[in-house]
Amino acid sequence: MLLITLLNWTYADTIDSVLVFTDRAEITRQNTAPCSNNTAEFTFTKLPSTTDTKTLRSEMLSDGSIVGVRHRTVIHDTSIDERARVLLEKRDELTKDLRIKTNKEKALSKELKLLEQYEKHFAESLKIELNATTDLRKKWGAGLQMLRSEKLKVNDAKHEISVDLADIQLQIGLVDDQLNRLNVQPTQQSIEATVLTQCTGTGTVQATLHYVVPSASWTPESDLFVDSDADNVNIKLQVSAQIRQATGEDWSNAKITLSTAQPNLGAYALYPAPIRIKGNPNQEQKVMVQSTEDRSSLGNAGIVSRGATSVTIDDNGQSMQLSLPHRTTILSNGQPHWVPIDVVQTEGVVQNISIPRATPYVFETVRFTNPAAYSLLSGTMHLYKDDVYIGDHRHSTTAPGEQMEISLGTLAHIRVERNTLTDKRKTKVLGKSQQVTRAYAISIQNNSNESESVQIREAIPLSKNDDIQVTLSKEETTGIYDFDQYKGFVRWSIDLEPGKRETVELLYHISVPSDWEIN
Amino acid sequence: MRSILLTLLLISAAHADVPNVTLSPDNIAQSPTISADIHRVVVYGDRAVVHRTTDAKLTNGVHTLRLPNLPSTIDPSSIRIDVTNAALLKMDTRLVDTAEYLIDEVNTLIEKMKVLDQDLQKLLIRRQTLAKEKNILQSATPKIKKKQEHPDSIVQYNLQIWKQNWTFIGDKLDTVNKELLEVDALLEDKRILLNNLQAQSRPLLNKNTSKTSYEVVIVVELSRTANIDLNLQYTVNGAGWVPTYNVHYNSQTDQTRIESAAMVMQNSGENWSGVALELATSNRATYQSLPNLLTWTLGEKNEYIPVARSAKSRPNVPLYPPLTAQTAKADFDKISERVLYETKRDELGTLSTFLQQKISTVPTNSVIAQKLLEERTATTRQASNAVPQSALFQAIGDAGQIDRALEGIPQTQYSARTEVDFSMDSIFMEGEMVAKEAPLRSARRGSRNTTATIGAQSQVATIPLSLEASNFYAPIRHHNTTFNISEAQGLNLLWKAPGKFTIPSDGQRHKVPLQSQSFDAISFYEATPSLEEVAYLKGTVENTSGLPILQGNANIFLNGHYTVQSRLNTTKEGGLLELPLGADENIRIKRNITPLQRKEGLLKQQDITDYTITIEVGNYKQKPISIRILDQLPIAQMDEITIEFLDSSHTYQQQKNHQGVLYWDLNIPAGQTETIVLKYSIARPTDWKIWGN
Repeated sequence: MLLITLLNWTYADTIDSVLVFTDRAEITRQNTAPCSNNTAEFTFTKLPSTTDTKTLRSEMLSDGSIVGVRHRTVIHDTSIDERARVLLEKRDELTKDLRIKTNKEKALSKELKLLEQYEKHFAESLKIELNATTDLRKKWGAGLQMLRSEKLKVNDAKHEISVDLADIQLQIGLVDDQLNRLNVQPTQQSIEATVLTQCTGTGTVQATLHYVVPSASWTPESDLFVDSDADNVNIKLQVSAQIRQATGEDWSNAKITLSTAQPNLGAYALYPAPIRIKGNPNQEQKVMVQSTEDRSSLGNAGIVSRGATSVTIDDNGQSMQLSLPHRTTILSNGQPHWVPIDVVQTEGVVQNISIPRATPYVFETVRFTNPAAYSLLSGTMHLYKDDVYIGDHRHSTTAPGEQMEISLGTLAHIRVERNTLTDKRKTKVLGKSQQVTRAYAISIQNNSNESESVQIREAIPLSKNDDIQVTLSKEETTGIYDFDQYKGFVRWSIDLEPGKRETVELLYHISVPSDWEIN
Repeated sequence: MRSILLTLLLISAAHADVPNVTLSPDNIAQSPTISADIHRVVVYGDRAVVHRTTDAKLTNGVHTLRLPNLPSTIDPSSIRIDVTNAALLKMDTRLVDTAEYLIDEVNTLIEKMKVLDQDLQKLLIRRQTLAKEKNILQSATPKIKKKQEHPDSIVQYNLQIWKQNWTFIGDKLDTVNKELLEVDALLEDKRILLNNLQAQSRPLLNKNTSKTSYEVVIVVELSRTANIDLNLQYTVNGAGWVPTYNVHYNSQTDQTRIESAAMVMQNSGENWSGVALELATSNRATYQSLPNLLTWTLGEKNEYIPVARSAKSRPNVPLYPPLTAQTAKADFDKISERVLYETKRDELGTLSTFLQQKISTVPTNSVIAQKLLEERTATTRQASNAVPQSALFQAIGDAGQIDRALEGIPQTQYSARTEVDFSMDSIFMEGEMVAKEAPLRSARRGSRNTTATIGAQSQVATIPLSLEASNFYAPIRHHNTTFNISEAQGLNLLWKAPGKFTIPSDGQRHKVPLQSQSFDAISFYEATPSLEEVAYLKGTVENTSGLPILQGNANIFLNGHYTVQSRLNTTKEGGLLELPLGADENIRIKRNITPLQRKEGLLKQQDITDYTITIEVGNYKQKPISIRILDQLPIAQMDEITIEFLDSSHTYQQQKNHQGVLYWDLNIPAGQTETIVLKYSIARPTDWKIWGN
């Protein structure tokens, strides 16, 4: 009997583990029950009322098998917090008082209007009675005195009530605020689940109950520390998680696992509908238009065969599960709980990059591959360079081994200028085409005392139509450059001596049929 | 007894690998507090990063420590902690109240202001009443009535009565005027009182005197007794620095000496005493991400790029609702106290402003009021002789003029405009930089985003599963997908539930288990990059149970964890079931379509667009994968249009009745990327406009 008591004391209907997804959590509770007549019944009480009951599932930890799980909703009207009861009573009283005083204020306003009418009447009467031959001074004096005292009395009373009303409303606001924080609902509900099992013997048996609840989430966070003083740029990536839950029950002393699954992406691949092509003769004016495309490529994936420092990683097939090594308590208060996941180190390449077409700054960037053994879910990365916090970088989901190129900020000592040298259009006299010529001069000035290298990235248009010809002028484009014909990118790598300025020029021609319009 | 001990040993052994890291309010309250001094501050243009350090000697095991009294102005998400000689297991940041509020002081001032308000209101009403009375008296002129309208008029002419009446009116006016001045003098007293109360309120209304602060609670684990070093850093707003210079020029030697210094200011709520100060130029507000340089293309306005659409959209089932923050009940009283204090403080501020506005509605007649104040101190002076009537009238008239004159003074206007820094807009104003979105990429990106958005609203996808899975790793068997067990053509199946059950008459659904059987499943990935650049894991199971699986809802659990709700169709013995298992973001996919339009033919000229589709599939997992990639060729709906398959880098397959859809089955080793290239062309008479769907 003592043994049963001890076991019950240890395991009685407690949350054993929690699997946290980005939008929900799966709770696992444990319970014990005596086996009698080859059956055992486990009761799990006070499951949150928001439990997704279709996910209720049970497993036997002892010998035996699950017969079924049933559940019911339990109303706990009496379980309202005592503080809430007091507050609700206070609110009722205040509301009643508010109503009475509001009515009084209305009555006084009405009385005041009557007095104003009487005042007008008195003023008019006075004008007439001044013509009277009898002595009416006493009457007028009394009239004025009465009018004054009545007005003062009513106005004072009205002001007193309006002060009271403001005070009552303030108090109601405070009570409402407290009630909101207590999250009081008209009725408190919970789910009670009963698990029926088959068992053998007469001892106690154990079973678990799994269920999914909303109002739980975790968000990844990462800090990237770049140590640029070293010969090779050292990169430390610290990955952590903020766990929040407001499921209605505290996860006390539970094993916590985080899942990288993305339920918002859906469960299965979509199947394409047929694309049926139709057409008709088109007499519209031909117009050249421009657009942009992302022609970036994945690059080669890299194998990362290590684990994490602070968690255990399991490949769940389509996602990773990160198990915290210790039991912990996450209160149901919606507040974030920060836990470290991993610290990984790698090497990166720092490069100064300028994209003058988009921005007049030179960026210091670091390029590296995700050194973690799991995907970095999309989120914010806090950037530190040489232990100095420099800003936040938003990144999309990055697979292990996938390359990242991150800005470490702009370099104030390197100035970039991009000037248009030529932008002209002419129609060829003999040919049937019009030609657009564009030329740019890109100048980079190193205002520091040290040599710098900068990669300049430019883009020229690529034609998607044989009638449009784009030619990069090799003679007039200066400097040593690479031209990526698939992406249309022109790149220069420039070494800048201290205080020196370098200029490269880019020139290209666009040839379009003369009857085309250029948008 | 032995069995009890054994059980206890077993229990403790079961938990031995998972030491407790419980941070309940009680545990936190009992945990030791350690103070960490500020030793270094890095000041930026718009903020500062404060570094605190401390050390502590701890025994082996798990310890909870509190670092209290961090200012409430810090950015809690910026708190970072480094621990040496110990493993940091967890960190919580709590907003706590460190001291009792001076609510009594606030309440006293509120009460005083309320009394002042009451007195002020009485005086204002009195003043208003007197002014009205004065108005009545001043406008009291006898009405002249036409005799024919009032043949029985009581009006008679009596000089004595007439004089008497007008003396009465004049005396009354004098009295009212004196009373008005008395009221003004009292209002002046109240004005002085209000100034005093406002001066007392000012320190309490300063929000920087807030008694809230942050407390960092950390849990660390030591493998042996050791000294641990804690380095805590956090960002505070309300700090900054600007450079300042002294330039000394010596005209004799033509030498210039420049002395530079920094003007550091901070209002973070804590003093930085004896700290190492570093000044940094980076500015969080000006941090810029590297722009993404996109390929710039030129084409014809009516250029057509095939855009895929889904044959069937996913059911739009809402996601679990996002959680909202709640207050811990343990902190309820303290927070209530703080809210009450803040409310009262706001009330005091509002009251102070309100009274200021109220009193400012009364025109100040300082000359008269001052005289009257002096008058009240001179006990021997007669009130009637103090101010002549004419002066009183004149004074009141002047006051009115002053008031009107004040109304005419324009209010000072403060401009919110500041100097504008170099704007990115000016760069993007260049004509060539504003590029039109390519229809295809736009659609694809839209598709991806739409998925995310839809996904954000959908949580449990209830999808029909076909009777026959399209598993390319298993032999294809054809079954009637419309097979319905309830119309089973004479087939009658009987399941016997194991055990005995009680089904109460409550109208509720009661789950009764029928059978449990294990099957071998084959899993592979599937993706349609033209719709979504996402790979989905899919399992296929052959029903070898000997009994059909009936149509019904299915909760799908992956490795014991609930994943999604789906629907199984009736599957006969030997039939295949598809199990959707969700997206895997460790498989990355990129798809690009590049069109190139050309002309062909001399007599019968045609416009031909060659499309090159490039699909990259990167396996970033630590094991090889099998994946099916779906794409498609368009279908011509008119005789004038011809669609021609040109090339595929990998052998593709098509199912019966494929409607242009084709697929590649790939095996990609871990850490490898495979690239599929598909080429096809669409030809049509020249100068035709084409479109899809």
